[in-house]
Amino acid sequence: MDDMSDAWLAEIERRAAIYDEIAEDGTGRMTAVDYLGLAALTLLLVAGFWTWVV
Amino acid sequence: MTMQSVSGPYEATAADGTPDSFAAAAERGDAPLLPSERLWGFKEFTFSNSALAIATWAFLIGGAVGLFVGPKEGIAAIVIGNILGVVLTALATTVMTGRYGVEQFTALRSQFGYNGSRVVYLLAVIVLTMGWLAVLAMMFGRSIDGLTALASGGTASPMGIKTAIAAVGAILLTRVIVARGPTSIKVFNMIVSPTLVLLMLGMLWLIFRQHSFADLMAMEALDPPFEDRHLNFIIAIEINMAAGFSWWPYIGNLARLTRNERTAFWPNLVGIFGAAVLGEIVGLFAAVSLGDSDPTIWMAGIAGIGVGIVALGFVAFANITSMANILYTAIVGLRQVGTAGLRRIGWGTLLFGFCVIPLVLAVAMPQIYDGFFIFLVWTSALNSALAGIGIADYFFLRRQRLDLRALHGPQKNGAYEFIGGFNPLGLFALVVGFVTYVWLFNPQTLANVEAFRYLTASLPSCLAAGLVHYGLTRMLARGPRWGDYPKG
Repeated sequence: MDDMSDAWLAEIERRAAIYDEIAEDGTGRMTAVDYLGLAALTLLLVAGFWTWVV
Repeated sequence: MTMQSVSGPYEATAADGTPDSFAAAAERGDAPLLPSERLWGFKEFTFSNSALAIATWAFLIGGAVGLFVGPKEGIAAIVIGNILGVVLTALATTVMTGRYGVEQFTALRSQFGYNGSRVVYLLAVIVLTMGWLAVLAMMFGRSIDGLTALASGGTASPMGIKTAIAAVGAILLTRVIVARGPTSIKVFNMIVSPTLVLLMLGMLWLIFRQHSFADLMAMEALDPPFEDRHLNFIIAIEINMAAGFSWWPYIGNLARLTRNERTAFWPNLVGIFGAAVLGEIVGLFAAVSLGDSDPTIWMAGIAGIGVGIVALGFVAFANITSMANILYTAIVGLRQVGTAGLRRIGWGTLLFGFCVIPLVLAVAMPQIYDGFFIFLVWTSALNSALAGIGIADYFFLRRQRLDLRALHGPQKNGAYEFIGGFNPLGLFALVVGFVTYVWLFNPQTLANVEAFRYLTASLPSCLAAGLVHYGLTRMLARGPRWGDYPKG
């Protein structure tokens, strides 16, 4: 796991740097709207089906 | 870099310094995949998830639910259990792997340390995947056996030699498919998944031709273990939550093949949740209306001999798709948590080595097929705690930021060394979650405490593990090798 060539470490650095660059670009990220929608969907399904049978 | 260039046969074990070899190594999980190297958009990931979820295990779980509750409560239990399990599991795994393209068990070094992630892999993946491979292969074998019996007018022999030979063949065929890489899995998914959805809808139609919806809703459970209907209902929810949480070892490594974070997350609700619910409901209706929870038996009962042969044949091969998906993700993870010696082993050889125990189980222990749901619920004692720790760590402690250099660079003296590569705080939280689960509900005996009737076991286990991990990390994780958590 710790036996890594310089070329490999440079490649990891290159890939990490690409992610550093795109970190500020929010394209494709989950936003508050996604999480609120998810919470609402989950609550609706759980409460709705629970009420249906209980 | 194109998809094709990185997805050929997997015999090279280490990057040789060329761009193609680095990309191939990244695809195997050795490095984060770049957005340009990811294979799947929303549609492809949805198909992949659907193929994984709608396979015959959905019928098995639906049939198992029918043992505890009737169809009305069963539908509710399937929806409630799966939505909770899938959402918590997807949050814990797919958001981080989708954002960074990082292999799931490499990312887990940030939660458990580089040796701790190996322990988690051993517990959560090896046992679970080997068990599922054996069960699905046995189902393949039983389907083939049932199919040939139907065609010849003979009697099926689920424990016979024909079933065992077909099960062995299924495992070996899966090994061949996975040896060719994710592109071949993708092709399989794109064919099998939509056809399976159509098959499910066809099965539903055939069931509704024989029984009205009102008739089905009035039917009783096949073999309820308790007189208390509410308790049986909660156990049915628990089984379905276990099914939802059982995706924990797999969906992270599939999600890293998607193009971004949203694409990594939302298809799980269409594919894993939606397809599993559909398949389970078909399994539930069929089991309760025909009085047998084994899909290899009820399928011919519903569809008749001609259609039954076709359906059984297709479902038999659909198992291969699920087996290919879980075997691929398990081996990608194994390469990351394994030793240097293990990483030097060729991809094909590693695949075969992993298949040996499932082969033995399929031949020597065919009885595990009938007790599979007990095995499934046991896995939730671990997976629910892992989900809780994952959410607490990634969202609340790290605020959705991972250090890719520390995850993939030398681990000794790195940010995720903790103590000798083990994070005792994360591992302790895992034990707390597991003990909480078993205290509330024993999957083996179904023994439970009063709180289980109101809380289930998976939710408290998930919450307890997450809270313990968060609290202990905030209090004790200080210093350069203790996970590099953000301050404040």
